[in-house]
Amino acid sequence: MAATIKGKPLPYGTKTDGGILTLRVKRGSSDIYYGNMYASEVRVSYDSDSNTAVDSNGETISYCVYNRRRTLSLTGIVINTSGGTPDAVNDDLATANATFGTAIMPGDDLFVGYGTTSEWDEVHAEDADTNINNTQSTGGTGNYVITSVEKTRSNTSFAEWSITAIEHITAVVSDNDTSDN
Amino acid sequence: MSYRKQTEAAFKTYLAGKVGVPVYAGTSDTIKAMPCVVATYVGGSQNPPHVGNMDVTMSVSIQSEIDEEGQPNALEVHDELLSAIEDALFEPAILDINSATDFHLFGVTDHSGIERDTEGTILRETITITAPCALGNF
Repeated sequence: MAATIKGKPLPYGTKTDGGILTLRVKRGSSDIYYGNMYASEVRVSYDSDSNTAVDSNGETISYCVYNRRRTLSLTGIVINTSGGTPDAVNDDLATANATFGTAIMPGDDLFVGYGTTSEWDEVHAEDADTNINNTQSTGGTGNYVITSVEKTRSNTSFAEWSITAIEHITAVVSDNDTSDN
Repeated sequence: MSYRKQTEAAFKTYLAGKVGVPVYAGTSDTIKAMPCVVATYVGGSQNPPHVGNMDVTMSVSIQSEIDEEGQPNALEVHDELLSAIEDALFEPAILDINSATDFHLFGVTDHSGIERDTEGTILRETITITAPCALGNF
């Protein structure tokens, strides 16, 4: 008799156990935005430049990959966070609008995490650091740098941010997404 | 505190301020006098996910007994009542509902009706709206 399959454990949603992410955007040493996001979509992609060497017959005999980089695309609703930047002491619509209006720009550093003290393994940009507050990068990996920002207000929907950020992976690349490098 | 209870209470208070007839929350089983208005929570779905905000669907019915012999001008009164309720359910007027405690309506995403049905001498006209809402004082 065939076994009845009643379910499998699967990764689900934008984050296991809920969709609230922590974002920290810094310009130099200053926080521009530090708060939460209800992410509706998160994408991480890896790409690179490449070069080939060919022999006298035109056959490729060597393939070289360089300029490896990781691109993070986030779309979601940013929300008031007490103690964040801007500081949402008052949990009201005026603060929500001020939070949405925060002027993040291309060139700002971006950190993304599960919460205030833990980075998000699949997307984090630092080497051997486990805290979103830690801005140091070591071991040849860089931090995410924002390359584009889009803010969307549409009729009958909540307003959203879309952020694209890039991290150049200049040295060690590990075997899987959840390692530090 | 539930979405049904808070939403119906907010609509009851808001609409009662717009018309001079009884406004009932919930089902029409509680109707004791006509003409009247009945605000009923039909259902809701979470939007966005994981947040706790809901897209709430409410139906608002205007019910009158159209008996021209017993109640002259009943249809005229009903029409005026319907007009007042219809106006109250459009933006921006409906945003005044946000004076309610622990209830916030962001806007109206869908407004449908007016559906009319009769039962004997009772005339019922219903407007249905869908609105993103939250339970809080924003």
